[in-house]
Amino acid sequence: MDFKEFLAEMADLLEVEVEDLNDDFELNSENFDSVGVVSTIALIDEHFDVIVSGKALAEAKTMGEIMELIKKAKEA
Amino acid sequence: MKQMKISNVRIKGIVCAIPKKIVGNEDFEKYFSTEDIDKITKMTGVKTRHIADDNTCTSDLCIISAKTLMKDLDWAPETVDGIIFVSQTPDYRLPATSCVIQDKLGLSTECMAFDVNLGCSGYVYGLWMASNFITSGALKRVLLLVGDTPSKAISPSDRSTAMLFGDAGTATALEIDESSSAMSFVLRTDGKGRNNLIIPAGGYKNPVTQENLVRKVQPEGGTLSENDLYMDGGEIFNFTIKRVPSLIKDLMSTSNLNTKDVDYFVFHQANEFILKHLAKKMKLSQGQTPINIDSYGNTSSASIPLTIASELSDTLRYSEKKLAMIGFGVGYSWGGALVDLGPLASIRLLEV
Repeated sequence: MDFKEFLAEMADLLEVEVEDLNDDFELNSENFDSVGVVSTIALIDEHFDVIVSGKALAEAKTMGEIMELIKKAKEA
Repeated sequence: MKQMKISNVRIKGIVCAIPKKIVGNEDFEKYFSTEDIDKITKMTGVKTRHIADDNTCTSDLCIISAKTLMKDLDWAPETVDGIIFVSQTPDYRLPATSCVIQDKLGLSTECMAFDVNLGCSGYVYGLWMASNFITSGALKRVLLLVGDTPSKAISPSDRSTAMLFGDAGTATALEIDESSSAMSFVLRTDGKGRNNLIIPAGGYKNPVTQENLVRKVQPEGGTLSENDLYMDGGEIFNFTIKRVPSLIKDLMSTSNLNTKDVDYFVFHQANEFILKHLAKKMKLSQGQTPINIDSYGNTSSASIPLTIASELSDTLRYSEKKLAMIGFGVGYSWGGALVDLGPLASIRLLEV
């Protein structure tokens, strides 16, 4: 489980600096579209070995909500 | 887990036909920005696709393939005792397209023919059906005709589907042969996924109406009607990474094998991103996973035989290789076949 690498790749995907990617970072249809959702599902599977639903990801409004989804999936 | 092994059946040849008209992504500049096109291409991996013209149906592509295949194998039409047409883009809702094909190929009226409505999993299911009929002693020579023209089912401005699909039709010959090694199959279904890859209208649940023919603007741009193919990429990706790795594991265990023992994993060419993710997850080498989606797009049921013909023709003409064919998608329906294939007297890709 590698948070640092995951965050670096998410920053890349969202086109921001990794330092700016905190829990409050806002996701919108510009920076996080259907291609972004699919890429994120893959990154989460790769780094955390869990599968987070596309529908749930699409509804996430902040980076923090994504981290919550990963946590929930790992606990399940 | 059901263990399905079928003996005494040999795949004798595979011929695929693709329409010669090639469409690249520049054609979409009237609907999408260059940035958008690049983003989508990066995910799907599709650079060009072959598209059938208005006068060409899946059946036509399968018929051309079958004629060449029968000629290569020296199969007189009257010796074929069964044909199975697997497609979700048939000539008609009724009669079965396989009946039309029986006539056009000049096959005997003693020949059994029927259609199967499956897409991405269709080739694997088709091999299993054809093999069953032969191993049971019912039939000796079967033509398995598998293909689709999904380009005719999509909305040209829909972001999820417009640049993904290509057309192809294929024919595979199977015959009784006691010297053949056994084929293993694992076949599965989950109808909970039915709405994630669907043409909602046009059947009897939601008949075509003037209203449902109208294309409506989609949240990410483009327009789509209920008579066009709808695809939820995120959900399909979820399904794939949830179900396909365990399918592969179970398929390997039917023959006590490791993925390293398989020469080629021929996946349904859904999109390049999914395939690369699967290969990474299952630790498959690049050499083990032929990909042709860049040239031909996602050809639905035809993609497995098309990949075999486009990428493995030279190899399989002269040698025997162990192949794991993995189909997954619409339904949801998915399945795997472990087959020792080759050398093949007929293996070709025709441009028609």
